[in-house]
Amino acid sequence: MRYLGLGDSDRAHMLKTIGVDVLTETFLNEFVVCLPVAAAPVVERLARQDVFAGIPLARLSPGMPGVENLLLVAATEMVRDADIDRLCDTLSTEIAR
Amino acid sequence: MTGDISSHPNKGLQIEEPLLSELGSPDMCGVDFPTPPPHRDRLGDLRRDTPIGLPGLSEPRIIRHFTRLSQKNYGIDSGFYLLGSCTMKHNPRLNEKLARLSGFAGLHPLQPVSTAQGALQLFDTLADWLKTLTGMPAIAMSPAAGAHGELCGTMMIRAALEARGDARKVVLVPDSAHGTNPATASMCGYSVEAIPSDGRGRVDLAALKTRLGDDVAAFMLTNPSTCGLFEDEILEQAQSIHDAGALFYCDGANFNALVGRVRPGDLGIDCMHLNLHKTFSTPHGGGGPGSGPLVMAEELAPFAPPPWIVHGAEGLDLVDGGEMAARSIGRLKAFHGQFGVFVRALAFCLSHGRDGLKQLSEDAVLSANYLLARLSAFMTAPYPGPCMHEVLFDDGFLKCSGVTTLDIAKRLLDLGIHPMTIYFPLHVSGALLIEPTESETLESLDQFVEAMRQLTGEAASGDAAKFHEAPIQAPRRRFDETNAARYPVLRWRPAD
Repeated sequence: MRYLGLGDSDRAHMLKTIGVDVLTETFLNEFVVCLPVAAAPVVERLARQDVFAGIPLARLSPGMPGVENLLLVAATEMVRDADIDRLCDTLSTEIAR
Repeated sequence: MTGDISSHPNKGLQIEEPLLSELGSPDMCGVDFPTPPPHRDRLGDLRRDTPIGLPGLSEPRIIRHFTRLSQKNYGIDSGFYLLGSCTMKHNPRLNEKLARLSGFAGLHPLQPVSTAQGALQLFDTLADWLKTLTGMPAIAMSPAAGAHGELCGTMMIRAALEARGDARKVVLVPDSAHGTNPATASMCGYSVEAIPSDGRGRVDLAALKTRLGDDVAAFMLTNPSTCGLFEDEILEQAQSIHDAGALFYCDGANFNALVGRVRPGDLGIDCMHLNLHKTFSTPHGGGGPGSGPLVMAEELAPFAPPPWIVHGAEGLDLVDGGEMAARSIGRLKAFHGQFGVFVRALAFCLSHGRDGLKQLSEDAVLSANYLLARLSAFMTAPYPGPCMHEVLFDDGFLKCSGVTTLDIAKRLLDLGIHPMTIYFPLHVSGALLIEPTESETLESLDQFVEAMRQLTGEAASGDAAKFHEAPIQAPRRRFDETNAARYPVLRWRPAD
């Protein structure tokens, strides 16, 4: 794990720069962010651009109140900086729509 | 590898394989990782403050370790595997190839539904095949194995009875039932009562009728039974069960004998699980992977667990809640079912076709009856044939020989043959249950017959000591199976 560079706070912070709040305080490679808009439609639109942005918590916990804007994001050692850049680019575009 | 080669325990390429923790060292790494860039983690107080101690090994050593372990496994790819009630049939490599297609193998169960339409179509198509083959109108695909399907069905039966204000307390099972049947009923809060077999090895219909009453929730039947016999009074059983207001559960573990020839829905069954990994061919054993979808009558469909596949304007969708969930027993499993097994099962259906599935069940029954006919010359069957897909013998042929059913099984190992299921079903003395399946050749069946002829001859000649010492060719002799079950050692600890 040490070598794989997981738990990279800097990567999570990249999402902050596009107006997304990282809600999870401590994590290894998976965390929840809060979007300013509903997460499920954003994920659906990004999927059409070949970006799997994460899992809307509304799908993970159907019927749970207050989770509409929450998105579960994971980054393994297979995810490269270019992938994260693309996620940030497409996500910021979708949020701004 | 450590140690002086002259004192190494591996002799004659009989590999004794240590555990990874005994082979490796925390200081070793088999991969040259680049130095990670500086970064801050967010592990907080979750960060370990002691070394984890995981062993490091070189890549070739790891490959050898797992290859050697795989060579210790006996499986259907190693040889004849006649374990009764397990349907250890050949697993076509086409199934494996399709299951490994990246579009299937790389799916995430929670990726957007719009990106998984092919998978949902496969899911839906397989569901249609299973409903058609069983003659049942509805299906729950999520149960992960046979016993899980039983749990699903029994929970639904309970929910259906409670919904009509008729909660009952008793589930009846035949004395030949798989052990999971009474266990499942008990887990669902029912008292379990056994119905005896009659002289023909079938359920004693009179005893069943006598016991049925307004406290009986369900009767759980395996057909063909674990005696390898078709329950030829099943229509009258179904009528009696329904007349008593109970429901009829069928354990579909033995569907390999019926597929393509008999539709359980035509027999009055209300719900039945299917062991996809058995009848529809997936490598199984050792705990998985399995898949146990439940087919059901219309009356039970409202109580089925999610998810459901629905056909919408924008394609297929997975539905978890809403009106469909109003009377559901709720989710039984995370996600949607054993998708990898679904791919293999549908590949099996499509490559065989309906006529091919019928042919395979006929061949499975023919193989078992061939063994019954030939082995009956020197072994004893508790019930007259013909049988279905598996053939049952008792230990009558070993009487006064000093040799037991267990001894036969151990001695078979010395002849290079995996033993049959022994001491099951429980009500048959010294039972030997043999399921050859449709995929064995006549030559392998004949080889087995000759092996059994040799063993029965040795037993009859009074050479019991040879049996008591068996196996002498296997890497290990007899284990203390009782203590292994009662006091399993499951945790590795470093030597002092």
